[in-house]
Amino acid sequence: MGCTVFEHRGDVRSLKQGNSLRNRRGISPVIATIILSAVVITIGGAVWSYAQSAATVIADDYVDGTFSLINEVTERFVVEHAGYDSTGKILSTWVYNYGAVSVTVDVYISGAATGSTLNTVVPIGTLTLIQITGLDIPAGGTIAIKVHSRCGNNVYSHYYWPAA
Amino acid sequence: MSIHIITGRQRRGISTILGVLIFVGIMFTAYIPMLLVMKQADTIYTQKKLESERLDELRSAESVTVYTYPTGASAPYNLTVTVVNKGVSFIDVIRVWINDTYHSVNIPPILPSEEKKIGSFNANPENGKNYYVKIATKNGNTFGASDSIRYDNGWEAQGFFIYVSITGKGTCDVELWSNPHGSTYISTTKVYLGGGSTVFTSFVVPSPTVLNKNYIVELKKGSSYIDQDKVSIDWPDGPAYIWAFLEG
Repeated sequence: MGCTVFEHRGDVRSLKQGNSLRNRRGISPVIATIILSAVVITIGGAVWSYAQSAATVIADDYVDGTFSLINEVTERFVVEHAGYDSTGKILSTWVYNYGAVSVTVDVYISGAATGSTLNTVVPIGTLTLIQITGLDIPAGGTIAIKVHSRCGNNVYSHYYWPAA
Repeated sequence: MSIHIITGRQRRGISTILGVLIFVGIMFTAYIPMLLVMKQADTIYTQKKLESERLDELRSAESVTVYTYPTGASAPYNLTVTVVNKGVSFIDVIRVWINDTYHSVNIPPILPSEEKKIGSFNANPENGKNYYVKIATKNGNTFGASDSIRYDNGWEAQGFFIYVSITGKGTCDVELWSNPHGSTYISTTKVYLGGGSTVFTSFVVPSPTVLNKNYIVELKKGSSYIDQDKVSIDWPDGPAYIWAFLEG
Protein backbone atom coordinates (compact mmCIF):
# COMPACT_ATOMS: atom_id res chain seq x y z
CA MET A 1 0.00 0.00 0.00
CA GLY A 2 3.15 2.22 -0.52
CA CYS A 3 3.99 2.75 3.08
CA THR A 4 7.54 4.12 3.57
CA VAL A 5 8.29 1.94 6.63
CA PHE A 6 8.69 -1.16 4.45
CA GLU A 7 11.46 0.47 2.30
CA HIS A 8 14.05 -0.10 5.15
CA ARG A 9 15.56 -3.30 3.79
CA GLY A 10 18.80 -3.49 5.88
CA ASP A 11 17.16 -3.62 9.23
CA VAL A 12 15.44 -6.89 10.14
CA ARG A 13 14.21 -5.53 13.38
CA SER A 14 12.64 -2.75 11.48
CA LEU A 15 11.02 -5.23 9.13
CA LYS A 16 9.74 -7.30 12.02
CA GLN A 17 8.57 -4.22 13.64
CA GLY A 18 7.09 -3.19 10.31
CA ASN A 19 5.23 -6.49 10.03
CA SER A 20 3.98 -6.10 13.54
CA LEU A 21 2.87 -2.59 12.80
CA ARG A 22 1.25 -3.78 9.63
CA ASN A 23 -0.66 -6.36 11.61
CA ARG A 24 -1.65 -3.82 14.18
CA ARG A 25 -2.60 -1.42 11.43
CA GLY A 26 -5.00 -4.01 10.05
CA ILE A 27 -6.68 -4.49 13.40
CA SER A 28 -6.60 -0.96 14.77
CA PRO A 29 -9.15 0.55 12.35
CA VAL A 30 -11.65 -2.15 13.27
CA ILE A 31 -10.95 -1.76 16.98
CA ALA A 32 -11.07 1.98 16.69
CA THR A 33 -14.34 1.77 14.83
CA ILE A 34 -15.74 -0.60 17.44
CA ILE A 35 -14.52 1.59 20.27
CA LEU A 36 -15.83 4.74 18.59
CA SER A 37 -19.13 3.10 17.87
CA ALA A 38 -19.33 1.81 21.41
CA VAL A 39 -18.59 5.27 22.76
CA VAL A 40 -21.14 6.85 20.44
CA ILE A 41 -23.74 4.21 21.32
CA THR A 42 -23.04 4.52 25.04
CA ILE A 43 -23.14 8.31 25.13
CA GLY A 44 -26.00 8.40 22.62
CA GLY A 45 -27.93 5.82 24.61
CA ALA A 46 -27.38 7.81 27.79
CA VAL A 47 -28.53 11.00 26.07
CA TRP A 48 -31.47 9.12 24.57
CA SER A 49 -32.41 7.68 27.94
CA TYR A 50 -32.05 11.05 29.63
CA ALA A 51 -34.05 12.78 26.89
CA GLN A 52 -36.79 10.19 27.12
CA SER A 53 -37.10 10.36 30.91
CA ALA A 54 -36.89 14.17 30.83
CA ALA A 55 -39.58 14.29 28.15
CA THR A 56 -41.77 11.93 30.19
CA VAL A 57 -41.34 14.05 33.32
CA ILE A 58 -42.02 17.28 31.41
CA ALA A 59 -45.08 15.76 29.69
CA ASP A 60 -46.43 14.37 32.99
CA ASP A 61 -45.96 17.73 34.72
CA TYR A 62 -47.67 19.52 31.86
CA VAL A 63 -50.57 17.07 31.84
CA ASP A 64 -50.94 17.31 35.63
CA GLY A 65 -50.91 21.10 35.41
CA THR A 66 -53.41 21.11 32.58
CA PHE A 67 -55.77 18.72 34.36
CA SER A 68 -55.52 20.82 37.50
CA LEU A 69 -56.47 23.82 35.37
CA ILE A 70 -59.33 21.81 33.86
CA ASN A 71 -60.63 21.10 37.37
CA GLU A 72 -60.39 24.80 38.14
CA VAL A 73 -62.32 25.94 35.08
CA THR A 74 -64.92 23.18 35.11
CA GLU A 75 -65.93 23.04 38.75
CA ARG A 76 -69.32 24.61 39.35
CA PHE A 77 -71.10 24.89 42.67
CA VAL A 78 -73.63 27.14 44.30
CA VAL A 79 -75.12 27.84 47.71
CA GLU A 80 -78.60 26.55 46.98
CA HIS A 81 -80.10 27.31 50.36
CA ALA A 82 -79.19 28.54 53.83
CA GLY A 83 -81.15 28.27 57.04
CA TYR A 84 -80.55 29.17 60.66
CA ASP A 85 -81.61 27.29 63.76
CA SER A 86 -81.57 29.86 66.57
CA THR A 87 -82.09 27.20 69.26
CA GLY A 88 -79.00 25.19 68.36
CA LYS A 89 -77.17 28.25 66.96
CA ILE A 90 -76.50 26.32 63.78
CA LEU A 91 -76.31 27.76 60.31
CA SER A 92 -77.02 25.17 57.64
CA THR A 93 -75.84 25.78 54.11
CA TRP A 94 -76.68 23.46 51.27
CA VAL A 95 -74.02 23.48 48.56
CA TYR A 96 -74.96 21.98 45.21
CA ASN A 97 -72.25 20.79 42.84
CA TYR A 98 -73.59 21.04 39.28
CA GLY A 99 -70.20 20.82 37.59
CA ALA A 100 -68.23 17.96 36.10
CA VAL A 101 -65.73 17.44 38.92
CA SER A 102 -65.97 16.76 42.62
CA VAL A 103 -65.12 19.81 44.76
CA THR A 104 -63.63 20.26 48.19
CA VAL A 105 -64.86 23.43 49.85
CA ASP A 106 -64.32 25.61 52.88
CA VAL A 107 -67.26 27.70 54.10
CA TYR A 108 -66.62 31.04 55.81
CA ILE A 109 -69.21 33.21 57.53
CA SER A 110 -68.81 36.91 58.22
CA GLY A 111 -71.02 39.85 59.07
CA ALA A 112 -73.40 39.59 62.00
CA ALA A 113 -71.57 36.42 63.07
CA THR A 114 -68.35 34.70 62.11
CA GLY A 115 -67.38 31.06 61.72
CA SER A 116 -66.13 28.47 59.29
CA THR A 117 -66.19 24.83 58.31
CA LEU A 118 -63.28 23.44 56.36
CA ASN A 119 -62.60 20.62 53.97
CA THR A 120 -66.02 19.34 52.93
CA VAL A 121 -66.21 17.22 49.81
CA VAL A 122 -69.18 17.86 47.54
CA PRO A 123 -69.42 15.05 44.95
CA ILE A 124 -70.64 15.67 41.41
CA GLY A 125 -74.37 16.35 41.11
CA THR A 126 -75.08 16.20 44.82
CA LEU A 127 -76.51 18.59 47.37
CA THR A 128 -74.39 18.59 50.51
CA LEU A 129 -75.37 20.02 53.86
CA ILE A 130 -72.59 21.96 55.57
CA GLN A 131 -73.29 23.17 59.09
CA ILE A 132 -71.54 25.82 61.11
CA THR A 133 -72.20 25.65 64.81
CA GLY A 134 -71.95 28.20 67.59
CA LEU A 135 -73.25 31.11 65.52
CA ASP A 136 -75.23 33.72 67.39
CA ILE A 137 -77.00 35.72 64.70
CA PRO A 138 -79.04 38.61 66.11
CA ALA A 139 -82.58 39.18 64.87
CA GLY A 140 -82.44 41.25 61.71
CA GLY A 141 -78.80 40.33 61.15
CA THR A 142 -77.34 39.56 57.76
CA ILE A 143 -74.38 37.30 57.21
CA ALA A 144 -72.19 36.83 54.19
CA ILE A 145 -71.42 33.27 53.16
CA LYS A 146 -68.27 32.56 51.20
CA VAL A 147 -67.67 29.09 49.81
CA HIS A 148 -64.07 28.62 48.73
CA SER A 149 -62.99 25.61 46.71
CA ARG A 150 -59.53 24.10 46.97
CA CYS A 151 -59.06 24.84 43.26
CA GLY A 152 -59.38 28.54 44.06
CA ASN A 153 -62.96 29.32 43.01
CA ASN A 154 -65.28 31.30 45.28
CA VAL A 155 -69.05 31.47 45.51
CA TYR A 156 -70.75 34.12 47.60
CA SER A 157 -74.19 34.24 49.11
CA HIS A 158 -75.89 36.01 51.96
CA TYR A 159 -78.48 35.11 54.54
CA TYR A 160 -80.89 37.36 56.35
CA TRP A 161 -82.20 36.17 59.70
CA PRO A 162 -85.50 38.02 60.14
CA ALA A 163 -86.31 37.12 63.73
CA ALA A 164 -85.46 34.75 66.51
CA MET B 1 -0.88 7.89 5.03
CA SER B 2 -3.79 7.54 2.72
CA ILE B 3 -4.90 4.48 4.74
CA HIS B 4 -5.21 6.63 7.83
CA ILE B 5 -7.21 9.22 6.00
CA ILE B 6 -9.61 6.67 4.51
CA THR B 7 -9.99 4.83 7.81
CA GLY B 8 -10.67 8.06 9.67
CA ARG B 9 -13.25 9.10 7.12
CA GLN B 10 -14.95 5.73 7.48
CA ARG B 11 -15.06 6.06 11.27
CA ARG B 12 -16.45 9.55 11.01
CA GLY B 13 -19.14 8.23 8.72
CA ILE B 14 -20.18 5.54 11.18
CA SER B 15 -20.33 7.94 14.10
CA THR B 16 -22.30 10.42 12.00
CA ILE B 17 -24.77 7.73 11.04
CA LEU B 18 -25.06 6.59 14.64
CA GLY B 19 -25.43 10.17 15.81
CA VAL B 20 -28.21 10.76 13.28
CA LEU B 21 -29.90 7.52 14.29
CA ILE B 22 -29.76 8.53 17.97
CA PHE B 23 -31.02 12.02 17.18
CA VAL B 24 -33.89 10.64 15.11
CA GLY B 25 -34.57 8.08 17.83
CA ILE B 26 -34.76 10.78 20.47
CA MET B 27 -37.02 12.84 18.23
CA PHE B 28 -39.45 9.96 17.62
CA THR B 29 -39.42 8.30 21.02
CA ALA B 30 -39.16 11.26 23.38
CA TYR B 31 -39.73 14.71 21.90
CA ILE B 32 -42.57 14.04 19.47
CA PRO B 33 -44.57 11.85 21.94
CA MET B 34 -44.08 14.59 24.54
CA LEU B 35 -45.46 17.19 22.14
CA LEU B 36 -48.37 14.92 21.24
CA VAL B 37 -49.25 14.32 24.88
CA MET B 38 -49.09 18.07 25.59
CA LYS B 39 -51.25 18.80 22.54
CA GLN B 40 -53.77 16.19 23.65
CA ALA B 41 -53.92 17.74 27.13
CA ASP B 42 -54.48 21.15 25.54
CA THR B 43 -57.27 19.72 23.39
CA ILE B 44 -58.99 18.19 26.43
CA TYR B 45 -58.65 21.50 28.28
CA THR B 46 -60.22 23.42 25.39
CA GLN B 47 -63.02 20.88 25.14
CA LYS B 48 -63.83 20.98 28.86
CA LYS B 49 -63.69 24.78 28.91
CA LEU B 50 -66.10 24.93 25.99
CA GLU B 51 -68.48 22.51 27.73
CA SER B 52 -68.37 24.64 30.87
CA GLU B 53 -69.06 27.80 28.90
CA ARG B 54 -72.05 26.12 27.25
CA LEU B 55 -73.32 25.07 30.67
CA ASP B 56 -72.95 28.67 31.88
CA GLU B 57 -74.87 29.95 28.86
CA LEU B 58 -77.66 27.43 29.43
CA ARG B 59 -77.75 28.37 33.09
CA SER B 60 -77.96 32.10 32.45
CA ALA B 61 -80.71 31.54 29.85
CA GLU B 62 -82.99 29.79 32.33
CA SER B 63 -86.02 31.81 33.33
CA VAL B 64 -88.86 30.38 35.36
CA THR B 65 -91.94 31.72 37.08
CA VAL B 66 -93.06 29.76 40.11
CA TYR B 67 -96.63 29.69 41.37
CA THR B 68 -97.69 28.08 44.58
CA TYR B 69 -101.08 27.67 46.18
CA PRO B 70 -102.87 25.36 48.64
CA THR B 71 -103.58 21.92 47.24
CA GLY B 72 -107.10 21.90 48.68
CA ALA B 73 -109.29 20.01 51.08
CA SER B 74 -107.87 16.64 50.01
CA ALA B 75 -104.45 17.61 51.37
CA PRO B 76 -104.92 20.61 53.65
CA TYR B 77 -101.26 20.88 54.65
CA ASN B 78 -99.93 20.62 51.13
CA LEU B 79 -98.86 23.29 48.70
CA THR B 80 -99.11 22.79 44.96
CA VAL B 81 -96.20 24.11 42.94
CA THR B 82 -96.54 25.05 39.30
CA VAL B 83 -93.79 26.44 37.08
CA VAL B 84 -93.80 28.24 33.75
CA ASN B 85 -90.65 27.98 31.67
CA LYS B 86 -90.11 31.48 30.28
CA GLY B 87 -86.65 30.74 28.91
CA VAL B 88 -85.50 29.54 25.51
CA SER B 89 -84.26 26.10 26.53
CA PHE B 90 -85.74 23.28 28.56
CA ILE B 91 -85.25 23.15 32.30
CA ASP B 92 -84.80 20.23 34.67
CA VAL B 93 -86.40 20.82 38.06
CA ILE B 94 -84.70 18.60 40.64
CA ARG B 95 -85.84 19.99 43.99
CA VAL B 96 -88.64 21.98 45.58
CA TRP B 97 -87.82 23.90 48.73
CA ILE B 98 -90.45 24.87 51.28
CA ASN B 99 -88.64 26.99 53.86
CA ASP B 100 -85.68 24.86 55.03
CA THR B 101 -86.99 21.54 53.80
CA TYR B 102 -86.50 20.21 50.33
CA HIS B 103 -88.35 17.62 48.31
CA SER B 104 -86.53 15.86 45.48
CA VAL B 105 -88.54 15.66 42.29
CA ASN B 106 -88.07 13.53 39.22
CA ILE B 107 -90.04 14.92 36.33
CA PRO B 108 -89.34 15.19 32.60
CA PRO B 109 -87.69 18.42 31.39
CA ILE B 110 -90.03 21.38 30.99
CA LEU B 111 -90.03 22.79 27.46
CA PRO B 112 -89.89 26.51 26.68
CA SER B 113 -93.24 28.27 27.28
CA GLU B 114 -94.62 25.13 28.91
CA GLU B 115 -96.54 25.36 32.17
CA LYS B 116 -96.25 22.29 34.37
CA LYS B 117 -97.55 21.31 37.77
CA ILE B 118 -94.52 20.00 39.66
CA GLY B 119 -96.60 18.37 42.36
CA SER B 120 -98.19 18.75 45.76
CA PHE B 121 -95.83 18.90 48.73
CA ASN B 122 -96.49 18.62 52.43
CA ALA B 123 -95.30 21.78 54.18
CA ASN B 124 -96.02 20.56 57.74
CA PRO B 125 -97.38 24.03 58.48
CA GLU B 126 -97.38 25.72 61.88
CA ASN B 127 -99.79 28.48 62.80
CA GLY B 128 -98.53 32.00 62.28
CA LYS B 129 -95.65 31.03 60.03
CA ASN B 130 -94.88 32.14 56.49
CA TYR B 131 -93.88 29.58 53.87
CA TYR B 132 -91.52 30.42 51.04
CA VAL B 133 -91.36 28.11 48.08
CA LYS B 134 -88.59 27.87 45.54
CA ILE B 135 -87.40 25.37 42.98
CA ALA B 136 -83.86 24.32 42.09
CA THR B 137 -82.79 23.31 38.60
CA LYS B 138 -80.16 20.82 37.52
CA ASN B 139 -78.02 23.67 36.20
CA GLY B 140 -77.74 25.24 39.65
CA ASN B 141 -80.38 27.96 39.45
CA THR B 142 -83.03 28.61 42.05
CA PHE B 143 -86.30 30.40 41.37
CA GLY B 144 -88.64 31.47 44.13
CA ALA B 145 -92.34 32.19 44.17
CA SER B 146 -92.81 35.94 44.24
CA ASP B 147 -94.65 35.89 47.54
CA SER B 148 -94.88 33.71 50.62
CA ILE B 149 -97.99 31.95 51.88
CA ARG B 150 -98.99 32.24 55.51
CA TYR B 151 -100.58 29.48 57.55
CA ASP B 152 -102.94 30.39 60.37
CA ASN B 153 -105.51 27.64 60.82
CA GLY B 154 -105.52 27.53 57.04
CA TRP B 155 -103.53 28.96 54.18
CA GLU B 156 -103.61 32.70 53.64
CA ALA B 157 -102.30 34.65 50.71
CA GLN B 158 -100.26 37.76 51.42
CA GLY B 159 -102.20 39.64 48.76
CA PHE B 160 -103.63 39.19 45.29
CA PHE B 161 -101.79 40.57 42.29
CA ILE B 162 -101.88 40.66 38.55
CA TYR B 163 -98.37 41.07 37.13
CA VAL B 164 -98.25 42.37 33.57
CA SER B 165 -95.43 41.97 31.06
CA ILE B 166 -95.66 44.44 28.14
CA THR B 167 -93.50 44.26 25.03
CA GLY B 168 -93.60 46.98 22.39
CA LYS B 169 -92.76 50.59 21.55
CA GLY B 170 -93.87 54.02 22.62
CA THR B 171 -96.13 55.10 25.46
CA CYS B 172 -99.11 52.93 26.32
CA ASP B 173 -101.85 52.65 28.89
CA VAL B 174 -102.48 49.35 30.63
CA GLU B 175 -106.07 49.08 31.78
CA LEU B 176 -107.52 46.55 34.16
CA TRP B 177 -111.18 45.62 33.82
CA SER B 178 -113.23 43.01 35.48
CA ASN B 179 -114.44 40.35 33.07
CA PRO B 180 -116.76 40.40 31.18
CA HIS B 181 -115.25 43.41 29.50
CA GLY B 182 -116.75 46.69 30.41
CA SER B 183 -118.55 45.58 33.52
CA THR B 184 -116.21 47.40 35.90
CA TYR B 185 -113.24 49.57 35.21
CA ILE B 186 -110.66 49.11 37.91
CA SER B 187 -107.36 50.83 37.16
CA THR B 188 -105.01 52.27 34.54
CA THR B 189 -101.24 52.44 34.49
CA LYS B 190 -99.17 54.36 31.97
CA VAL B 191 -96.02 52.64 30.71
CA TYR B 192 -93.22 53.93 28.52
CA LEU B 193 -91.67 51.25 26.33
CA GLY B 194 -89.09 53.39 24.55
CA GLY B 195 -87.86 52.19 21.18
CA GLY B 196 -88.80 48.59 21.84
CA SER B 197 -88.49 46.83 25.14
CA THR B 198 -90.29 44.80 27.77
CA VAL B 199 -91.51 46.44 30.94
CA PHE B 200 -93.43 45.10 33.90
CA THR B 201 -96.21 46.54 35.97
CA SER B 202 -98.65 45.11 38.46
CA PHE B 203 -102.14 45.60 39.87
CA VAL B 204 -103.32 44.80 43.35
CA VAL B 205 -106.75 43.22 43.24
CA PRO B 206 -109.21 42.36 45.99
CA SER B 207 -109.64 38.94 47.50
CA PRO B 208 -111.31 36.85 44.79
CA THR B 209 -114.84 35.55 45.08
CA VAL B 210 -116.79 33.27 42.77
CA LEU B 211 -118.25 36.31 40.99
CA ASN B 212 -115.18 38.46 41.20
CA LYS B 213 -112.11 36.60 40.03
CA ASN B 214 -111.91 37.15 36.26
CA TYR B 215 -110.11 40.11 34.77
CA ILE B 216 -109.14 41.56 31.42
CA VAL B 217 -105.84 43.37 31.08
CA GLU B 218 -105.77 45.62 28.02
CA LEU B 219 -103.06 47.55 26.27
CA LYS B 220 -104.21 50.89 24.86
CA LYS B 221 -102.25 53.19 22.57
CA GLY B 222 -103.97 56.55 22.18
CA SER B 223 -107.67 55.73 21.93
CA SER B 224 -107.30 52.29 20.33
CA TYR B 225 -106.90 48.97 22.08
CA ILE B 226 -103.85 47.03 20.89
CA ASP B 227 -103.91 43.81 22.85
CA GLN B 228 -105.65 42.11 25.74
CA ASP B 229 -105.16 39.12 28.01
CA LYS B 230 -107.83 37.42 30.07
CA VAL B 231 -106.75 36.13 33.46
CA SER B 232 -108.41 34.77 36.56
CA ILE B 233 -107.30 34.43 40.16
CA ASP B 234 -108.54 31.08 41.39
CA TRP B 235 -107.31 31.27 44.96
CA PRO B 236 -107.34 28.98 46.94
CA ASP B 237 -107.48 26.59 43.98
CA GLY B 238 -104.81 28.54 42.14
CA PRO B 239 -102.05 31.04 42.78
CA ALA B 240 -102.69 34.35 44.51
CA TYR B 241 -100.97 36.19 41.67
CA ILE B 242 -101.08 35.70 37.97
CA TRP B 243 -99.13 36.96 34.96
CA ALA B 244 -100.66 38.67 31.92
CA PHE B 245 -98.65 39.17 28.73
CA LEU B 246 -99.32 42.02 26.30
CA GLU B 247 -97.69 43.06 23.03
CA GLY B 248 -98.06 46.43 21.39
